[in-house]
Amino acid sequence: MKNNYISTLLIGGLALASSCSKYTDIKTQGSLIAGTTDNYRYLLNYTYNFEYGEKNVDWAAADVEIADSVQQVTMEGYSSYLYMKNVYIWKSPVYELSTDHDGDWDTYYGRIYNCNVILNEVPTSTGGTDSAKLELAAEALTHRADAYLTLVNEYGKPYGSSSSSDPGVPLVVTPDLNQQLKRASVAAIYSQVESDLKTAVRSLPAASAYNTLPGKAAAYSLLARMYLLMGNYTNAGSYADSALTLRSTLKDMATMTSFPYRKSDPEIIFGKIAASSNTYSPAILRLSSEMLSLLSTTDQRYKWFTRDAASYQGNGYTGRYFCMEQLNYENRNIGTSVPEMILIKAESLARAGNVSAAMDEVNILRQKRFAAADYVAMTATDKNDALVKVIEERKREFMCRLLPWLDQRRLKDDPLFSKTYTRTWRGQTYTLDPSSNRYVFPIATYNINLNPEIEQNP
Amino acid sequence: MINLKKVAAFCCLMLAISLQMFAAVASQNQPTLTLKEALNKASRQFHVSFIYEDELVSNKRVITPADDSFKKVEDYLSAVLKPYNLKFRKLGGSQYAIYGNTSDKAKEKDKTNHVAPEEAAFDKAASQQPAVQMTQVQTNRTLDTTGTEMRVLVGVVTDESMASVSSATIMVPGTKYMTVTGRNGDFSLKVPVNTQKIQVSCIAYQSQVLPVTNAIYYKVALKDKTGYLKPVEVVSTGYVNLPKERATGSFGVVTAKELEKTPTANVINRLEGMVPGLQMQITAGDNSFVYDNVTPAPSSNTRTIGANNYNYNIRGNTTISSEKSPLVVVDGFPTEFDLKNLNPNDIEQITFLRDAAAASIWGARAANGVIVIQTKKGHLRSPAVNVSIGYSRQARPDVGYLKLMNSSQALAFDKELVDKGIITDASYNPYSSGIKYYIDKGVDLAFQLKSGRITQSEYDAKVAELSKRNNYDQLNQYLMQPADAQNYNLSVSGGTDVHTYFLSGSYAKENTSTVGNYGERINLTANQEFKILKKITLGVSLKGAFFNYASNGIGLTPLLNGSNTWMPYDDIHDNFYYTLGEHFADSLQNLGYRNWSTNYLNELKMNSMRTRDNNYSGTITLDVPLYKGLNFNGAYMQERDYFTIRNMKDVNSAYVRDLYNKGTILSGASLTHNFPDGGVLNATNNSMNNYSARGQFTYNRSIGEDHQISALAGMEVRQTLNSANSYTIYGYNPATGFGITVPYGTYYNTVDYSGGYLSGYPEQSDKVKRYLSYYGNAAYTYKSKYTLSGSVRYDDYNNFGLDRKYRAKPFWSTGVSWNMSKENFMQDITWINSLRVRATFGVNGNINQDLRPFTNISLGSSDSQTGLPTAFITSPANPALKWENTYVTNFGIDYSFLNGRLGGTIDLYNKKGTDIIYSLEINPALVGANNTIQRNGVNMLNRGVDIGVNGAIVDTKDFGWNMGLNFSYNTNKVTSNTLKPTTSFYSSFSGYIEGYATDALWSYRNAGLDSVGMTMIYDQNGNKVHANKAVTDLSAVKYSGRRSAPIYGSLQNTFRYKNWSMFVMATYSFGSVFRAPVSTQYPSSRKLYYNTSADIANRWQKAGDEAHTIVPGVAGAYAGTSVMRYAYSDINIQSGDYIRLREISLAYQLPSEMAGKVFAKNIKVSGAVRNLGLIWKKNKLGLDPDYVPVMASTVLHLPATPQYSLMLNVGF
Repeated sequence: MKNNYISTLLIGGLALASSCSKYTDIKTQGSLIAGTTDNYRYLLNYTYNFEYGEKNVDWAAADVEIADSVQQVTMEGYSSYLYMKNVYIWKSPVYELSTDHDGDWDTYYGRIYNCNVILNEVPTSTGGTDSAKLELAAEALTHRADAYLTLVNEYGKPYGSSSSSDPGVPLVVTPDLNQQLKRASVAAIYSQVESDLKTAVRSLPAASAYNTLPGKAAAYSLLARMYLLMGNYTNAGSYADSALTLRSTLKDMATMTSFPYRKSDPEIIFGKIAASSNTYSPAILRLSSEMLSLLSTTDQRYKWFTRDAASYQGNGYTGRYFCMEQLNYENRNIGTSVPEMILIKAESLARAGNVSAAMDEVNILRQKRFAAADYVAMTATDKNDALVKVIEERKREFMCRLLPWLDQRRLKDDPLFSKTYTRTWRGQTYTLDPSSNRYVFPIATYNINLNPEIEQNP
Repeated sequence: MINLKKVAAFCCLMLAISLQMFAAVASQNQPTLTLKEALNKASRQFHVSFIYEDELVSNKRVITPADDSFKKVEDYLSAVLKPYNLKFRKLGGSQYAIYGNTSDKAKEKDKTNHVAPEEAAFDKAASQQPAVQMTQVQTNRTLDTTGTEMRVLVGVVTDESMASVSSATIMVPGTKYMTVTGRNGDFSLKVPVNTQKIQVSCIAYQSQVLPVTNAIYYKVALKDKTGYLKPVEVVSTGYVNLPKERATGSFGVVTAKELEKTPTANVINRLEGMVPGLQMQITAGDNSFVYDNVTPAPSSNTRTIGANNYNYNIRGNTTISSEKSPLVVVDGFPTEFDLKNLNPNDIEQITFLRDAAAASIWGARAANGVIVIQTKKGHLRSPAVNVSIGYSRQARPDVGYLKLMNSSQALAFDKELVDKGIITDASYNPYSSGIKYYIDKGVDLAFQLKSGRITQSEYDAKVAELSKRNNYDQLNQYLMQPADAQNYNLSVSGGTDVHTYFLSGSYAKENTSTVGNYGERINLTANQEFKILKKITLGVSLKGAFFNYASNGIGLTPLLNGSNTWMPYDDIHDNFYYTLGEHFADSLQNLGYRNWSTNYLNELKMNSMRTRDNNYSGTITLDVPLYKGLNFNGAYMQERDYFTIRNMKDVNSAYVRDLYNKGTILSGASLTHNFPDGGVLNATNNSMNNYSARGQFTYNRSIGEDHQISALAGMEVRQTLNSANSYTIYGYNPATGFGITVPYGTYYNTVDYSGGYLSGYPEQSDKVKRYLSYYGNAAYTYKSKYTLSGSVRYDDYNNFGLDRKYRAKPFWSTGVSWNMSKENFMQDITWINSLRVRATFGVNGNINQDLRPFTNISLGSSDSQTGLPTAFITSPANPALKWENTYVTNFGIDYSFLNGRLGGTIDLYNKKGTDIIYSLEINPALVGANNTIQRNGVNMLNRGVDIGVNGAIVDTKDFGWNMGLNFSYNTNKVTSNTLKPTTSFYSSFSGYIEGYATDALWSYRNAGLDSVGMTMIYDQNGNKVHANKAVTDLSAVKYSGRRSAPIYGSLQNTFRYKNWSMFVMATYSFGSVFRAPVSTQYPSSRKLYYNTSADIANRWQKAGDEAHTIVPGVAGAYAGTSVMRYAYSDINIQSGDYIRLREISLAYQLPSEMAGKVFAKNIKVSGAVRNLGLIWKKNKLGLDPDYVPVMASTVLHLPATPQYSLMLNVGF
């Protein structure tokens, strides 16, 4: 009796112990590990983590002019607007308190972190085909390349002969949280962007159902943007062409009745939006007189995208402001688009001396930007004239959306475009000459305090 | 009376006769051996000797068993003695005592007593002395080594309620002959035959001297000595009960007797000041179990229930983001329930496991210390019934405790906000066009003046009128009330040798000081033990705790600072407009909107928020003796909780009207209603289903006289399942139980453009967590002097580690103790009764249930752009994630001097926490904007001393004064060099700094105001820094002290005078600091924020004011930083030192003759006053450091008001 008892207990105990290794091998709800390939698809589907971009740089470009004292005073009154003012007057530091995060830095590196996790984990994920994994990795590479391309153009000097020694931004390509953050050179960043995009383009789908998810055209268009910023106009032109063969639809602004949401905008190749919208006073992008002088009132872009500040923003406001974000209440697109590819192609042709071909490209766009009655084909007398006209068209087409500042940077030493800009803020005048250090954004003290190995810009 | 006695005597006579007849019949039918012969036979067969009473043994015959049918003398004795109801007891060596059973009838006789004249005479003598049963002794003589003729006395010592008393001393006065009672209160003592009397004494009981007759068996019932603490003899680790003299670890014990001193329904209130090392902060004084938050939070990593009402720790804090509260173990198993679920009257003993040797058997959850609660069990005796009733009432809390602006000050502030344009015309001026938001009356008047609607003199007149009001008291009067509580308790316990039971039921109700908030609790407990299959013990414990709460109160929430703060000139009978301004709302009402105002008095009646919380727990244990001290214990515990909240918001409540109106859009002349009409029901249902199962072998054996081994090894599995669901029904009709179908989650337009969203889509979450543990524990004691102990535990937890290598780390401990007083050289020091030193070392763990070592994702709903399924990363991968470890070293001394009149413990400890998990800030370049990552990486050190002293200062027959002092000292600091001041540290003092306590309070060095009224602070060089500049050097800020007191404890005095006793407890707390409650936030045009803190009245208003004030002005971009720096300045640091008179209680025990008249054993009437306030405090602001008001908080607790209680306790 007693022996039976003991043996039952012992057997029971042994059985329990042997089955125990699996006992704790369960997952608690609400805390998933990615694991399966599908989950990485879901991660990439989360547009929120990949589409946001800069919010700082648009205040620095010459198409904006904060002239009304009501706007200046209000902006000054609250710390949440201070970065706009500081960017506008080309001040360093932009973020004055050492506790202030730099939104652009955070946004882009947040995206890069997500991409790095996917790139790191997707090869060992389960349940997906090799080609599916390659495509997921390619998407992540494309998103990451876009982030680095903007980052290096925000915090590093424009691409040029000294790029291999100019400090760019920390090059973080793995999700390791313990790595050093020494700034890689501008050239190294470009080289990473280049190789990432070229790797990606092999595995990206020819077409993507949504412009927020990259297809081959997205990678081509980013390559085109990158080569343009590098001054490699031949490559820029040919990649722009590659992108255009995959997508070339334009909106006819004269006949369209409403401005489309970004997801259904046929012009957007790779949808990226600014991190904040500037539609309510005092944070409105008031257009400079130089900008307005470029836009004729018959230009549909004038009609759609500019509004009278006084009637929409109240007493004390003058002039016109950029109102695209009030058309569909979405943040402005700063990703690559068909017009951008057309104009890159045009610039490439113009730079190559192919004046009429360049103008043809510009006119393809302009036909959709004017009512038939208002449209006049643009012509150029020579190479420089063509170049000027392409750049002016870029200003009209991309006002207040990242590219004006990038153009201003890359063309600052070009005799055709070189210029010293001045701004006035509450009686004080600020200047930005071509040699100014303020073509490069300072890195927030916050980031440098956390990682002193990050070198500050002069 | 006379008749009764006669009847009783007759019954006894009849019983005796019938027993004799039965015996005679039995002997006739079975003529075998006499019992005496049978015992002699056994003596030869088993080589043992017997002591017995001749009378018991004579005239009895037994059936002779076959010689070889018994292997053990015990079995033989059982067989031969059972027919005559005789018992035997081993006296040591090979000697057995045989004695008669104390039948219940004999006790009945004792109780009624006066049966026959000769017995009455005896009982009269015995009423001063305990009842002693005497029987004849025949063969009970031996010679000791000196040739003295010796005899043996055996017996049992109990208390008045017949519960056995262990460690009572039985001695022959003036000689060396003494012994102590064992666990069951039994003893045997060899005394010289000429011994006249023995003395039975035990601390906490009145000593008794018994005449020694020729009886062998003595049953002693000791009377309580009021005020003495019963010595702790057994401590419990939850897995095993240890004799305290063999435990190496640091244990603190609170007994039922001590818990009885505090008349609250929640045991948490009764623990304050009871044990050295336990630090308790009770921050709600108007209730005990009716917490601000009683809703389980399945996803929370730490305790949430009651977290606003009490906090406690054992020996400081060795974690940052993991659980800080100790692990609570009830009847052997960890509980997920709050302590409020326990009926304090059911608790037998609470053992606090303070060091590693005590707690490390709990492994990964032991780092915060462990509280082991044992509930009462039945004792072998006739049923004892206990009834108690209690009622208490508290004074109404006083809003005047809060330092707030008066009406004229508030009006001036209102005007300044308007004049300086901080409250903007565009959004708030009701006299301009467009949507206008809520403003208070003073701002309204200022706008009227500004827009020229009234003249300055009209304004002045209106302000003068409002200034006369000071209506804070209205909140006291209408929304607050005197709290009261009632308590009813009934318990029955008793048992036979095969079944013991303890049954209890209680009901408690508490009305809090907030009108509309109350709670009720019913507790049912049944603890039973059965002896089955000879030696197997089956224990069954069932407990239920059932709560009902109503939380409809408004209380002091109108005072909390925000966009609709109660202003001193507001009248509670008025209607308040909260969402939109009054004029704008009224204009909408004219267009067909509903009234948009709030009236507190109506709101009180409008909503119904009911909570029901039904908790069940059951434990079944099986104890199987296997072989020579080896036992198997199996145990299973199940805990279930069914929790529901029904929050019904009436269609006419301000909440529903507001949502309905907001969702009503004016298009042309017609109104579109986007929000469904009707009441709104929010429902939350939680359930918890936890089980634990355990199998363990225990081994307890004495080998010879010198060696004592006790060991256990076992395995445990545990699962917790937490389920929660919630939903909201719109347009709900309570009569039909139906609502209407709504499109949850869709945004809709609102009239104020804030956008609406029908929340409350039904949600269900189920969180399963599993633990698997193996553990072992062994202790060896040599000569009852030297003990060596060790324990080890391996814990596996399903949410920790991709691979077992991250968690396969054992927790262990080791310890030694030396019972010095048992050494020969100590025997001559008579004033030392016991002296023991202990030393232990080991490691305990802590779990952070939030973290995973892998990249953690969460599945989202469909993407807003593409509609595709989404996921996002919720926490980054951390492959190096580990347990938090706490290494504890402890040195302790237990002492008892002067015959037990002075005793206590001293413990010194060192707790070193490593791998503590903390949100470490990393560069956003690594992870993006959310750049604080929870990681192992912080080390911490706690050092301290725990001292407990208890002494009987005066100890006479009628008067006694007993004093207990608990003293604890704890230092705490972070020792990791990974923790450098971060930027967020300099801006808000969040974060931890190497070399400083986790609860370090930092401050800015205030440098007054600058010319625009902004706070300046000194930097490290003594330069003044303006609000727009940051400081980034540790020497620029000032370490001001710790938030929790490093020195704390209590002083308890118990006085007795005859049947009266008085208990006075004071608690003290020294060395902490707190920030004075001043304004921390100013309104800005972005955020209207009414702040009524009194210091604002002295704010900077115009240039020049900086000469005579340090309270910053309101306007300017850096006003926010400025006011924060002012609030966090060194000038606002106050000392938290205090001495608090916690409780005075007075009890009267009715003389037993009076109690006997109503058939009661004892009747006790007592009264208590709690929360008598501070005897002394260091701060001069009149603030109670435990109740520092935070006007920006969500819960405002005023200091606990005096509570007067009355209790009646009757035992039958």
